[in-house]
Amino acid sequence: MRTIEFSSFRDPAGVVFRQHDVLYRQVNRCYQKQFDSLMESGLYAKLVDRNLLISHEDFPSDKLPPEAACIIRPARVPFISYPYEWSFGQLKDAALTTLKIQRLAIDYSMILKDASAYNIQFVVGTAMLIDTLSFDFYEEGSPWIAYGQFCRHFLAPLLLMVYTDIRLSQLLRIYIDGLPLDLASKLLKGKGGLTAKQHIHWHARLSNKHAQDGKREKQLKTYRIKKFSYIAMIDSMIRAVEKLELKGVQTEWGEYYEHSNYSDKASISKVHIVSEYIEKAKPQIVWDFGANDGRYSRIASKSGAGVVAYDIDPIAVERNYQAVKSSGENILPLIMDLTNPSPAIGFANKERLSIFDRQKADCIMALALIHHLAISNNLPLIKIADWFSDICEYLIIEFVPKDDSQVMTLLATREDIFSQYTKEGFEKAFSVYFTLIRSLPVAESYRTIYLYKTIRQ
Amino acid sequence: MYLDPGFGSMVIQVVVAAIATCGVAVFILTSKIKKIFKKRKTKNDAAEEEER
Repeated sequence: MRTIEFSSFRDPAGVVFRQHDVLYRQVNRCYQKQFDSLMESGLYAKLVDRNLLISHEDFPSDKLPPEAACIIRPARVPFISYPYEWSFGQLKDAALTTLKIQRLAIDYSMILKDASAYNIQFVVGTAMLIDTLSFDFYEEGSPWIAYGQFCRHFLAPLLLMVYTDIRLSQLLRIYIDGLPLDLASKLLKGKGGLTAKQHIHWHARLSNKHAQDGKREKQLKTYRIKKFSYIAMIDSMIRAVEKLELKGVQTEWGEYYEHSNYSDKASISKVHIVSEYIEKAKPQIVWDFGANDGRYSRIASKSGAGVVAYDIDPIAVERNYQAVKSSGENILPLIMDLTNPSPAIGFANKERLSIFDRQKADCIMALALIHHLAISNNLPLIKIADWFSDICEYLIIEFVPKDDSQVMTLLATREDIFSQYTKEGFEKAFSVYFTLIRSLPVAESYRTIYLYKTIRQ
Repeated sequence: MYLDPGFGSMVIQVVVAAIATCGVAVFILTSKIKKIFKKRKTKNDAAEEEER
C-alpha cells in the first residue's frame, strides 16, 4: 500500500510516498532533465561526499505511474524536525548547508530552486538537504529565485535571535513560509549591521515598493546579475551567516547542572539507575523530556538507541547540539515546551506534523521534570500519567518530592494547593496507566526514579 | 491587498550582488597592495643584510 506524504503536494517535480514504512521519492518526467543533470554532472556525488545532501538508491519499479520517470529510495532520516524546534546553531548550520549547496551547484550550472528550512533535516548532528528535487538549471544573468525564501526562512530568524531575542525563532511556528521581512525589520529596529540592512531592511522596503508591480500594464523590467557577482553574493552570504554568533545569552536553565542541588554521589547514583533501566527496557527510540544539555540522553544513546532530547531552554539545546556535533552521537536536541508541544500546522493542518504524529517513542525519560509539570504548570498527576501512557511503551520518571530544595524554591512564591503531590499520590496516579517494573531511590536525595511499562487495554 | 514579494527580492539582489562584488574588488586590491609592500620590505631587508 502506497501512502503519499501530505507535505509533498507543492512540488510538481515529484512526490514522496511511504510503502511498508519505507520512504520513496518519485521523480516525475517534467523534472527528468534536471534530475539527470544533478546525477550525471558529478554534483550529486560531490554534495553527498560533503554530507550536504542525503544519499539515495535507485529503486527500479515496473509499475511506474504514467507521469513518473523513476523512483529513488533516500537514506533514512531518524526523526523529522522543524525549524521552530531548532536551536540557534541548528538553524545556522541549516542555513549554511543551503548556501553551500547553492554555491557548489553554480559550478555545475545548477541552482537551488527553493531554500525552505523544511528541506533541511539533521542526521547524527549534520544538517542535510533531503529534497533531491530542489535543483534547477542556472541561467546566466538571472537572480537567485529562492533568495527571498532564504531570507524569510533563515536570515530573518537568525538575525532576530542574535540582535533581538533568542526566543523569536518561535515566530517560524506561526509563519510557515518564513518570517515576513517587514515584521523582521520592525523587530530588529535597525540593528544587525550591513547584513540586516541589505537582506532584511532594504529588502523589506523594496518588496513593499514593488508589491503592486504585477498589476502594472507595462512590461516588468528584468534584472540581470553577472555570474561573478552572483557568486560574490552567495559567498558574502556564507560569510555573513558564519559570523553570526549569540552574544552572552544566559537563560534560567542554561547552567542547571552547575547550580543543581545534587551531591556527586546523587549524580552518580542517578546515572547508575538510568543505565540499569535502559538496559532493562532495551529501547530503540528514546525521547528525553527536559533533557537539558543531554547528560542522561547520552546513556540511552550509548546503549544504541536513537534519542530525541527535548528541552524548553534554547541555550541548553544549543549546548547539547554543539556536543552532539562534535561527538557524532545519535541524539537530536530540540526546543520544546512540553506543556505546549509542536502541533500539526500548515495547509489542512497536515503539512507539518505534531511531534506525536511523527514517531512513537519506545521509552520516555522524564528526569527532574514532574515538579515543573505538576507545580509550575498546575497539571494534575493523573493527567500527566494518562498523557505519558499514550505516547510511550516504557517510562523512566523521577519523582521530586516537596522536601527537595528545587520544589521548595518553586513553592516559595506560590500557595501550596498541591495536596496530591506526594510520593503516594504520584504512585497512585501512575499505577492507573502503568505497571511498575522497578523503583529506586537516588542516593543522598529525597528523589525516587521509577521504571514503568504502559498498560495497554 | 495582493502582495508580490518576489519582484522586490529580484531588485534587492542587484544591490546585494553589487555590494558583494565591490567587496571582492576591494579585497583583491588590498591584497595586491599588501603583496607589493611585502615584496619591497623583503627587498629592503635583503639589501640591509648585504650592507652589513
